[in-house]
Amino acid sequence: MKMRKLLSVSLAFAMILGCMAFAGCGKKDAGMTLNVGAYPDTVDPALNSAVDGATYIVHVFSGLVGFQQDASGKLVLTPECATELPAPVKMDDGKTSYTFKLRDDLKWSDGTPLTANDFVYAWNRAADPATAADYGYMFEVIDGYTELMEGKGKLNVTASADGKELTVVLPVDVPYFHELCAFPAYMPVRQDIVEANGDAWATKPETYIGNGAYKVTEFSQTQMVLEKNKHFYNADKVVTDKLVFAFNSDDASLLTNFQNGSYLFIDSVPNDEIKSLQEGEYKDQFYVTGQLGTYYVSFNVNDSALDSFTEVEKAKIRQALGLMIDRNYICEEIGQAGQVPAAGFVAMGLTEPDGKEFIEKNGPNRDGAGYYSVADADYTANCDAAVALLKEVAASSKKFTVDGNKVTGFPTLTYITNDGSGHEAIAAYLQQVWGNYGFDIKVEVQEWATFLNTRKEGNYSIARNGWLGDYNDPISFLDMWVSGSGNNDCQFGKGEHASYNGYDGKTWAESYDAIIAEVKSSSDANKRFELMHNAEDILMESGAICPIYYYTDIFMCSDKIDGFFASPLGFKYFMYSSVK
Amino acid sequence: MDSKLAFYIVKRVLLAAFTVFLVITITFFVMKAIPGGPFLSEKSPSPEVMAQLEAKYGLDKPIFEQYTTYLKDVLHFDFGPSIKNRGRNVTDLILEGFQTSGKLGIIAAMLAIACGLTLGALAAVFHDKVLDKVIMVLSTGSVAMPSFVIATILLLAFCVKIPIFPSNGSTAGGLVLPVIALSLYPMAYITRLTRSSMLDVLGQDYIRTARAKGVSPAKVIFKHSLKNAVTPVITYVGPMIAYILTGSLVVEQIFVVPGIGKFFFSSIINRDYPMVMGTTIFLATIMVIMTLISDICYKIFDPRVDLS
Repeated sequence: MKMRKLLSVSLAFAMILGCMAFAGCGKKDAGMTLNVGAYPDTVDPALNSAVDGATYIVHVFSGLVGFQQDASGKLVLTPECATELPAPVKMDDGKTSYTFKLRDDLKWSDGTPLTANDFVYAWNRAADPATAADYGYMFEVIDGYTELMEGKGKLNVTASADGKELTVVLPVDVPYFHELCAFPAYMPVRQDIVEANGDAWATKPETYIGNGAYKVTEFSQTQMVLEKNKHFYNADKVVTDKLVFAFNSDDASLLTNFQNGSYLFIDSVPNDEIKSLQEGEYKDQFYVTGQLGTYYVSFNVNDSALDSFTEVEKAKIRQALGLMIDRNYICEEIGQAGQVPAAGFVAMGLTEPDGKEFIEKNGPNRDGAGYYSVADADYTANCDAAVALLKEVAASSKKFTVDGNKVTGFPTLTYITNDGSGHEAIAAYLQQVWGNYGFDIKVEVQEWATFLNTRKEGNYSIARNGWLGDYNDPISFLDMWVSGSGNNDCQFGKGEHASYNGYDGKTWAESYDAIIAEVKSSSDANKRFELMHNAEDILMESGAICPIYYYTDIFMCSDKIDGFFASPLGFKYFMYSSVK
Repeated sequence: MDSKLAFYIVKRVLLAAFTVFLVITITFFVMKAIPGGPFLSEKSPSPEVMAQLEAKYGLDKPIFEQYTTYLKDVLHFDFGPSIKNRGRNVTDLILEGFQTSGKLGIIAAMLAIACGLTLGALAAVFHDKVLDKVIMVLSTGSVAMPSFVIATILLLAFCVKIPIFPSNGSTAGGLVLPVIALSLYPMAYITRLTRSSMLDVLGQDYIRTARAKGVSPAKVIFKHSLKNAVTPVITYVGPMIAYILTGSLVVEQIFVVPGIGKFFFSSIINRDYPMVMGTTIFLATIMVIMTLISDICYKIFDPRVDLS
C-alpha cells in the first residue's frame, strides 16, 4: 500500500508543479523587447570589446560625440555631451588639441552633476594597463599614452576648473578623432562608484549609473531592462519609455521569438533560413547592411611545409591559391547573406579624405579594381593566371611539376578552422577547389580557444581568419600586421621572415612597420591614405592574406519599429525609435 | 537511524569529500594542459594588458602554487571571480543559474519518475497487449530522439504553429515546454527499466504464490511487484537527478532558460578556469550526494542490502 501511496503522491506533486508552470502562460513582456546577443561578458564601457555590449552601453551612456540619423537616414556624428564638434587646433609644440565645451546641466541618471573630470577619469582608467581593457589601445592617439603604459604619467586630457571644458592633446592629429569619441570606451564613468565597487560596479542596476538615454532597472541573466533617463540631455526626443534587451543566443529560438512577436528585433538568424527569409513573408523585415570587416584566409609566412621554396616562390604559390578561389560562389552559396566578394584586405565602408570609399582606390593602379578581379566572368582567367604562376614556381624550384592544370609532388598543406557550419563549409570548398588542381589539403577543425592559440602561435599552414575594424580609418585594418602586433597571425617580420629583405631590399620591419609608423605620425590626410594604400600593396603582394568577402551585418527588425538605425561597427541604436 | 546506517553515511561523506578532491585535482591540471587561454580572442590584447590580466587572476604564478592557492580558497568556499564575466563571482553565477535550473530540474525529475514508473508498470501488467506496445513505441522514440530535436519540435509546435506556450523560458508559464523536453528522455528510460524489471518480478514464484493465495491484483502489482522492481530504477534515478538539476545546455539555449547548463560548455570554450572548476565541483558534489541518497534508498526498498 505504501508504494501505491508514494506513487499517487508523486503523480499529484508532479501535476501540481506542472500546473504551476502552466499558470500565467501567454503573458508577454511589456515594452519593446529586443535581442542583440546573449548575456554579455561585461557592460563596463572600458572593458567591453563586444558588439552586443557596445549596443547596451550606447543606450546607457552618452559620450562627447554620438551617432544619430539625419532626415535622409544617413548616419552622422553629432555632439552629445559636447555642444559642438571642435576643430583641431595646432599647438606651438606641433601637437594638436581639441577643446570640447560641455552642455549645461549634464547629469548622471541618479541626478548627480556630470563634469569634464568624469571624462578625464574614464579615459585614463580605460587606457591604464592596470584596468586590463581589450580596447585600451584606442587611446594611443592621445598624448601621454606611452607614459601611461609605462606607469610614468597620465593621458594629456584636462578638465577646466569649472568642469565645463575638456581639452585633449594629440601628438599627431587623426581625422577620425571625433568618431573615436563616440566609441563606448570613450564614455564617461563615475569615479566614486567604480572605485567603491571594483569591476562589479557594472553588474548591478543600483551601481551601473550612466548618463545616456536610458537607465538600467533590471540586469539579470535573462534580460536587461532599461527605462527612460529623465536626466538625459536629449530626453525630450526619447519616445519609448522602456526597452527590454532579452539575452538569447540560440538562432532557432531567436527566429521563433521574432515570428511569434515576442522580440521585435533579432541580431542573428539561422544560416539555413537566410534564403527563405529573404524571399518569404519576412523579406521586408530582413536587413543586410554593410559592416567594417573582412573574412579572409591567412597563410603562415614561416610555414615549415614550404621550407624548400624561396620567399618569392612562396608568395607566388600563395597568390596562385588565392586566385583559384571563386569568391562569388562562397558569397552566394555558402554565406548567403549578401556578403561582397573582396578584392583587397581593407574592408568597404571606409572613407578617403575626398569622401570616396577606400576600396574605390584599392589595387596597384588605385582604380578600385582591386588586387585581382572578383567578376564572375574573370574567374577562369584568374585560374589560368594561377596555373601560370605555379608553372613559374615549378620551373624555378624543381620541387613539383605542373601537368596541364594539375600539380604533382606538392607538399600536403593543412587548413585550420574553428567549428561552425559556415567556416567548415568554406574549408570544404577550398579543399575541393584546390584539390581540383592537384593540391592535397588536409582540413583540421579545432575548438575555438585551441584554434585561436594555434593561429596566434603560428603553428599552422593556412587558417580561416576574420577582422572587424574599430573605427572609420583603414589603419584599423593595417596596423595589426606590424612585426610586434599580437594579431599578426601571418607572422610577418617574425622568425625566419624577420630577416627576409625582399621588400625593395628592406625587411618587413624596415618596409611595412616603417610605413605604418609614418601613417601614425603624419597629419597630412592625403599622404596618410597614399601610405595606407602602399601598405595594403605590400600585404597583398605577399599573398599571405587572401581576402574572401567583406562582412555584412544581418538582422531582422519588425516593421512595427520606427526610427531604428545601426552603425557600420554593428552597434544598434533604439533610443530614438518607437513602436507603431 | 541505526548506528550502522549512521556509520555508513559518515564513511560515504568522507569518501565523497575525497572524490571531490580528486575531481578538483584532475580537472585543475587537465584544464591547464589544454592549449589556449582565457584572454585570447579574434583581437588579442596587447602584451601589457595580457600581463596585467594574468597577474590579476594569478595565472602568472607557477602552476603548483596556483593549485594550492585554489585548494585553500575552495576550503573557504571561495571559487574566485569569473574571468569571462568581469566583476561576477563564480559562486554568484552558479547559484543564480541554479535557482532556475534546480526548479526546472526538480519538476522535470518528479514528472519523469512519476510518469516513468506508472507507464512502466502499466506496460508490464499489460504485457504484449496494445497498451504495452504503444508505451514501448513512444518510449523508444523518446529515448532515441536527441533533446535538441524534441525541444525544436516542441518549440515549433507550441510556440509557432499553435502558440499556446511562450517561447521564452524566463516568462510566466515558460517552463512548461523546457520541463517536457527535459523529462522525456529520463521518463522513457525509467519506463523501460520499470517494465523490464516488473516483468522479471511478475514471473517470480512468490508472485505466483501471492496470486494463488488470492491476493488482490492491485496489491500484487503495487506491494509485491513494483516495490521490488524499483531497485534498478533507483540506480538510474540518482545520477539522472544530478544531471537534470545541473541544467541542460540544449534545452536552456532553445527555450532561453537562464540556468547553469550553458556554463558547463561556455566555461571550457572560453577557458574561464575558475568557472570550469566551479561548475565541475558543483556537479561532482551533487553527483556524490545523489549517489549517496540512492544507496540509502536501496536499503529502504530492499532490506536485504547490507550497507556495511
